[in-house]
Amino acid sequence: MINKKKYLGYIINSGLMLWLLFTAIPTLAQTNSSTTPDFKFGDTHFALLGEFGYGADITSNSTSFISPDLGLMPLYQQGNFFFEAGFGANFEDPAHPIGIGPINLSYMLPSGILIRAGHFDALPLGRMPRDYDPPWINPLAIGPRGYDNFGDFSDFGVQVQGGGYINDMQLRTYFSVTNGAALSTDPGSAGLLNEASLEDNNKAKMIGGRVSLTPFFSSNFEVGFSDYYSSNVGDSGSNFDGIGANMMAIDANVAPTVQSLKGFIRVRGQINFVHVDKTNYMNANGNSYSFNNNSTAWYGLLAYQPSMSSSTFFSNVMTSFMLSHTNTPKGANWDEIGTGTQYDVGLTYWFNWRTNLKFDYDIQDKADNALMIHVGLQL
Amino acid sequence: MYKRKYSIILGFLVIAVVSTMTLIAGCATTSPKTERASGAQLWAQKCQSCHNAPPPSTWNTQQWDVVIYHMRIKANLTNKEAQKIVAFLKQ
Repeated sequence: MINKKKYLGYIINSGLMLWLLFTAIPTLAQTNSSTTPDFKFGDTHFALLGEFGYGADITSNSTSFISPDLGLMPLYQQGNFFFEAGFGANFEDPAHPIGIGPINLSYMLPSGILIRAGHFDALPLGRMPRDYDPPWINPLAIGPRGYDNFGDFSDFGVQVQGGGYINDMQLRTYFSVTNGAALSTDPGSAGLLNEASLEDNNKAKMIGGRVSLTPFFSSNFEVGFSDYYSSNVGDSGSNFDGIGANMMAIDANVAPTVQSLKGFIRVRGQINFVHVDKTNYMNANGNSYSFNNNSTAWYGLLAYQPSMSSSTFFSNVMTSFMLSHTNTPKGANWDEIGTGTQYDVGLTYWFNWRTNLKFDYDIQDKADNALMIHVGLQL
Repeated sequence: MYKRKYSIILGFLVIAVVSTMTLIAGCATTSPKTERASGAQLWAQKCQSCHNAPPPSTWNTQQWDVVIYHMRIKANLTNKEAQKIVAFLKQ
């Protein structure tokens, strides 16, 4: 069984490497024959972006102000080199009040292929991190259920991204090689995948990426497929050395303007699958247990904003509904997450394109219903 | 169980690899409609895909160079799209 698993692992690794070669090299080769002028930047430019989020969560038992979300992102561009960094306030850990990440350097080849090295804010496992992280983008106060655990990863490594057209159909690809997620063996989270830390826990690398297709030029409809695989997420030399993991996602997104509705709608959906090889863990009492470690997390979002309404007030109001669900393994002793469903109904007022006030009524299994009143700004 | 799981994953990967190889082999760096589209049209379409579209007055011309590079990474915009959008935003 072990040999078969490793053999399949090698096939998957090889397949993904071929994917990189066949996506990057032919596009690169088109540079010389292309009549499209290269994208020209200025000399040396700098910009400082940031984000801020804050609010209060009201339940039948309590009213609590949340921890402020403050992030600053210095961006520096010199010719075709681009550097980005991120710093964020971290109120939950007094020992480390400032969080750091992402920090990476990119270089754009004349063909438009981008090579990036460093720490990435989020691997593009689907579109969820890009769509929901910043409070000035998210129309709701929180993200989908389970996506912190099954899909939102930052990591250290290199990434190649690019794309092209077939007639008017657009194809985008990302490919990355990173240190990879680390298997948690703590009693309260044994079997979950943690973000990679600075110290790599083994020699194996996580490889994968995302392929997306925008089939119609007149529509921003996009469908994507992501997959990340590592043959080993356990610590070297431990009992978990050789435990492999795979993360896969399918996502779809469209935001059309609908004249008859005098506005636009957003429809988004994604499903993530996470698999970790079966192994034995120890619970808090020192007893051994195991389970089939397969998890699923999905969400769907529908939002509408009558942006062409004659009323200025209503043209700035967005109504949204999100349904999200996680399915976690039977037998897993996870403190923070379990199988369940989350419903969110939101009303968002946009003061301008990057500043919002949102009211989110949140209903979750095994939690009090909450009215969340939050603001989000891009700085 | 493992074999079935990996077979499913492998199946998806084969689809991804084969379709990507097939598609990329005939790929171009731009498209007829992108060539004809205005910067304003691409700005509205591409930006609104994820968030509200920022007005040109948000940043100065030098900052737009940096921001459009940042968005090339985030949204994986092509050369031609970025070129047209930033030209519109700098007007």
